[in-house]
Amino acid sequence: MDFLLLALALLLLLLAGAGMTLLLLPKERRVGAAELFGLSFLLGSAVVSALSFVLGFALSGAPLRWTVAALCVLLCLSGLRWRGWRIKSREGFPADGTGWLLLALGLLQTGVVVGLCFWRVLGWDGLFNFESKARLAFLSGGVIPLEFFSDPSRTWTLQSYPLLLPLTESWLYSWLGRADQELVKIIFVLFFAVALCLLHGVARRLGLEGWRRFVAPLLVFTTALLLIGDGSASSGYGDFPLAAFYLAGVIWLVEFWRNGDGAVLRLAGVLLASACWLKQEGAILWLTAMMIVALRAWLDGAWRQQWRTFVEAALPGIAVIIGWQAFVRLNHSLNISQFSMPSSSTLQASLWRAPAIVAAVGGELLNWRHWGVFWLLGLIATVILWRSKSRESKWLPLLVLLPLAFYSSVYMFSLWPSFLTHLESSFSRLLIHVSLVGALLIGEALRERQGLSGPTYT
Amino acid sequence: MDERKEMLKVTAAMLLVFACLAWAGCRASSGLNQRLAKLAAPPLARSSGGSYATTDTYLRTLEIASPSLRVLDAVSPLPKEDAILFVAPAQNAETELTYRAVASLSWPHEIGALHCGLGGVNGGQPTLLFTPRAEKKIRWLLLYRLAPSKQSIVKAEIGPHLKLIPIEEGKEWISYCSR
Repeated sequence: MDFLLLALALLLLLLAGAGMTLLLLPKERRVGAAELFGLSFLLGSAVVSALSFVLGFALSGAPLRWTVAALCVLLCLSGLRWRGWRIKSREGFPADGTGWLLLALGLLQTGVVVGLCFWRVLGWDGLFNFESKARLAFLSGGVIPLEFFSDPSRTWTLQSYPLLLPLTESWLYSWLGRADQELVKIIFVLFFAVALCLLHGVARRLGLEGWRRFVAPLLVFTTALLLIGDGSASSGYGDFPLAAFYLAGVIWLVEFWRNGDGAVLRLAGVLLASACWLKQEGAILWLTAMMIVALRAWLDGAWRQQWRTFVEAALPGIAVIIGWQAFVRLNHSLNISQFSMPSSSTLQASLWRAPAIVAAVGGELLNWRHWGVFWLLGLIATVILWRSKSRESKWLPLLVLLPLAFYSSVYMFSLWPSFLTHLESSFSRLLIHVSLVGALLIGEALRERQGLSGPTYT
Repeated sequence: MDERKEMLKVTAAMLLVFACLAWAGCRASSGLNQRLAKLAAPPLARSSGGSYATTDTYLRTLEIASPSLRVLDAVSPLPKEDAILFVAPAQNAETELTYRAVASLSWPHEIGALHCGLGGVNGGQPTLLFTPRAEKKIRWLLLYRLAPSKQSIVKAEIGPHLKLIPIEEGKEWISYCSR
């Protein structure tokens, strides 16, 4: 029975996500099964959690659950209707032997993550920041009571964190009829599967052939910190899911650069806005991506034609960031501040930290135990892309480097007694956020070496 | 046909390389695991399964079977508006984890934390780490690894190390810090 209820909850979530995907993708755009699954899960979790949050002001318990379920089905039907009741699928099953081998490897990798998830318990943040809020929402009819946000005895749950993950977890709980710290890990297995699907999809779209198609998915699999430990796919933290959202956003952003279709940029905007709804760091990723899009449009002299599309893509993120901050302030949510407010005086006072931060960041990037050769390959890929003739390829490394620069510089304002201890305890998790885009970078560099000029289909 | 064979050879070679990398990765993750396990053993401990798989692991220090359910059984019957204070001898990783696991299970009760500073990092100074909001009355104490006074009535014993007692009228919280 548990299996059926869990499957039903996930099916409804996927229906909502599929509906959103079909509504947001350009009408004539063909979509692969792996990409459709990836986008459906990402957007489905964003839709279900957002609906639970918004409708939770008026409904709770069974009425909330059934209303959200009905809206999920409605969204799927709307998407299908928009598409004329048919999906132009680019691919169903793998077309060749390499495809089947990739599928088998993907299943094997996901199986290993399933094993890790059920072998290990949830990590510290996985339990105290996310699962405990999901449990609390479940006990309160699917809604986190407002008094929770101003409870001074629960500041350690980081009440000002956005709610995508807790409310998605509580969605499963509401169908299961109980909070379950073991079954909830299915969400994190699915985020891992989504990351693989997106990387497989993008490798195919880039036109990579033979062994090159294996590189990005296998790199993810051979990087210790992406599989086990704090922030990994098996830990129950928000870091790996955030990396999956950022990867999806960047994939569609690069596609916008290639074909100039505004609908694709809007899809990227929604995915990056969902990242803001998942973790506070999502706002940094959203900001850097939007800055790069705007800067490129300005440098290319395309700003006049593209500004309207850009505003449409940026609006969801702005709405999420402002909406959530307004909610947090109105509810007097308490937050344990770990950073001082950036200002010229604090920056001047902490400039002496810069060399130590650069050294520590470099040390983490080359930390063999955490990352193996991942970032070394990322560096080589960056050099290859910067030397390439393709304009899109030159911009891609910035989508990793700029967030890294932001993430590193925040330690200039760390309030911890030792800013290096602060960095060492958290920076490796921040690197996870951009790691999947790092794998994409390596795939793109391989495309350059293969001598292809762009995507092989539209 | 030759092209296909060539591709298969290249794919096999790449898989071999990645198998080596995977092996290195597993070794590295095993090392990372051991290192982290020393720092925070409970979060990385093996799951025993079940709905309370994580909190049961985090509450292993209570040295009882099904600790999460035992905590719920003790706290659930208390009036919802009653706040609770978790009192522990010292602030360390073990008490931090136990406090948070107990508090996360105890919704809607607000649970504050008092560390007595007995042999802890604060050198004998009791520290009130988290407090319930002012309008909530603290009516219960959860004494962790501390013995209740002889006059105290123990409402529930959650194993040998955690006791739920009603707060005594006019008594300072710090007075519960004696072992």
